[in-house]
Amino acid sequence: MTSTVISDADFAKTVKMAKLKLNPDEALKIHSQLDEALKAIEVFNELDLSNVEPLSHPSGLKNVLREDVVTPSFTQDQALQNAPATHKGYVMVPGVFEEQDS
Amino acid sequence: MIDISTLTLRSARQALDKHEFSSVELTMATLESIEKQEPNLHSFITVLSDDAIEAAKLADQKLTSPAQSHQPLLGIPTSIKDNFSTQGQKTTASSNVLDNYYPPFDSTVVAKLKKAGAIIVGKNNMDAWAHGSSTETSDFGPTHNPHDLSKLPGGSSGGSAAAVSANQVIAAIGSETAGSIRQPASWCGVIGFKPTYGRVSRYGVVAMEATLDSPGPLTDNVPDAATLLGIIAGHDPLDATTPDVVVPDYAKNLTTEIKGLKIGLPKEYFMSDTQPGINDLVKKSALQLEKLGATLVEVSMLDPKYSIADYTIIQRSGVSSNLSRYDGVRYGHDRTLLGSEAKRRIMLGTYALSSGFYDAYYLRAQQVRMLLKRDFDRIFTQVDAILAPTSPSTALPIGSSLNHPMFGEIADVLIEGSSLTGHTGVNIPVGLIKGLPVGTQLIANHFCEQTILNLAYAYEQATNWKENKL
Repeated sequence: MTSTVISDADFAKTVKMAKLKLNPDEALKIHSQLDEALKAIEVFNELDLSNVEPLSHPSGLKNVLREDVVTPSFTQDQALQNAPATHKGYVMVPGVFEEQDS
Repeated sequence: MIDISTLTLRSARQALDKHEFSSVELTMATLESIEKQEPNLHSFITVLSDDAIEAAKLADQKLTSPAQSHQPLLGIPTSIKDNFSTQGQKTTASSNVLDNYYPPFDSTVVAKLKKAGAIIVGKNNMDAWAHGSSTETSDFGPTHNPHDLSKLPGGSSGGSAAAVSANQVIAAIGSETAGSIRQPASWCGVIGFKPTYGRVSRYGVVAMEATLDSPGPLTDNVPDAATLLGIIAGHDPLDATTPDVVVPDYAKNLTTEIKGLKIGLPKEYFMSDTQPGINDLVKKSALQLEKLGATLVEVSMLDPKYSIADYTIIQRSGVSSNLSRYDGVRYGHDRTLLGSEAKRRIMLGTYALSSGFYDAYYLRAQQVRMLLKRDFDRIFTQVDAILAPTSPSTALPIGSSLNHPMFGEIADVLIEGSSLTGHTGVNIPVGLIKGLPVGTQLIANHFCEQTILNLAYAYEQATNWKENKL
C-alpha cells in the first residue's frame, strides 16, 4: 500500500474512540477515503494563518445565561417512552465494565 | 378538485377564509397529490394522513370563528423534513438508528408552525442525518427529482424540495448546514431560503453541526418563503444561539423597489469548470436585476476551494460529536445501524478532534473560518448582496454520490463559504438546461434577510424563469 496520511495504529485508535465496529473491508475503504479527504486539506498550506485567531462560532454571542429556575419538563413516562429497556422507572443501560477490548 | 399547483400560502388562506374550500378538502387534495406521486418520487418517509385530517377538522371549526383569523397558516397543509422532532410522530432523520423514535416534544419550528395554524401532512425524506447533497444516502431509499425521475433531487432537504416542486404540498420546511436547502432548491427549481445562523431555532432538530445548522423554508414563490420565515424566526429560550433580534414582517415588507442596491458578483464563484450554460443563465439573472434598478459590481473573494476543505473538517468534527449521543440506550437503536456515510464522517471528525491532530486540523480549520469571515465582512462593506450560481451543475443522475466521499462538498462548493460565516442566502430558479433547473443564489449580511427576499421578489415578479431555456 502507498503511504497513508493516517497510520494504521492511529486509524485503529480512532475507530475505538468513535465506538464504531468496522469490518475489515469497511475499515480499508474508510481508511483510504479519510486519507483522500485529509489530502484535500493541504490547500490550507497556501494560506498565511500566522496571527489569525480561530473562529469557533459565527454569531459572536458570548455567555448566554438564564435564570436558574425550574421550567416545565418531561414526565417520567415521557422521558422513558422511547427507552428500549426500563426497570422500576429507570433506563436500563448495558454494563459498561463488561466491555471487552477487541 | 383543488389544484395544489395554483395555490400559494396566501391564496390558500384567503380561499379558506372565503369558504371556497375547507381545510379538510385542501388536506385531502394534498394527501391525494402525495399518494399519487409517492411511488415515483419517494419524497416522504412518513405521511400523517389521519393526524392531518383530524387537524384539518379542527381548523375548519376555527375558520368559522373570526377570533382565529389572525393565524396566518390556519388550515394549510405543509410538510417537514424528517430531522425536525414532531411530538408523538416518528422522526428518523432518514436513519435506521431512529426508525423507532417517537419524540415526546415538538421542535421549536414545528411548534411555531402549529401555533400559526399549519397542518403537518408528513415528514420528508432526506440524506441520513442530513449527511449529503443527494438524498440517496437515506436509509429508506432515494428521492427522485420531479423534473427527471432518473436524477437526484439534491440534498439533504431533497424530499422537501421535491415535494414542493411536484406540488405535493404548497410549502415545506428544510434545514441547511451548508447547502442542504439552497442546493436541492436549485436542482428542483424552487425557492430555498437559508436564514442567518441563529435567526431560526435549532431546538428539536437532529443536530449535524451546532454552529452551522439553520432551518428554513422551501416554497414555490418568494412571498411564501417570506411568510414562513416570519413565522419560524426569532429568539428561542431553548436555543441559546438565537439572539434577541427583532423579526421584521418579511412578507409585509416585500417590495420590488430595489433601486440603489449593490450586488457583487465574485469572479471566483463563476468557475471555469462549472457545467456549461450555468454561468450564462446566472449572469442573465444578474442583468435582469440590473435592469430592475440594482447596480452590479464584479468583486474578488477567497477561492471557494478553501471552503471545501474548511467545511469538511468543521462539519465532520461536529458530526462525530453530535452522533456520539446515539447509543441506543435512551431511544433509537445502537451504533451498529449507522450507515457508511455516517461512519465515514464520524471517523474523520473523531480523528480531526483527537489529541495530537487537533492543532493540525480542527484549529487550523477554525483559523481559515476566520479568514472566510473577514472576507465576507470586507465584501459586505462594499455591496448589499452577493450573486453567484447556487450549484456548479444541474441535477446529477441517481447513483452519482455513491463512493464519492466528497460528493456533497463539491456539489456545495459555492455555498459552504457563506454557511461557515453564518450568512443568509436564497436560491431562486433562473432557467432550465435540457429541462433541468438552474439556480442563482443571493447572499446577504447577517440578519439582512429582507434584502435578498426583495431582490428575489423583484426578479420573480419580472421574470418567467421557465422561459430561459438552454
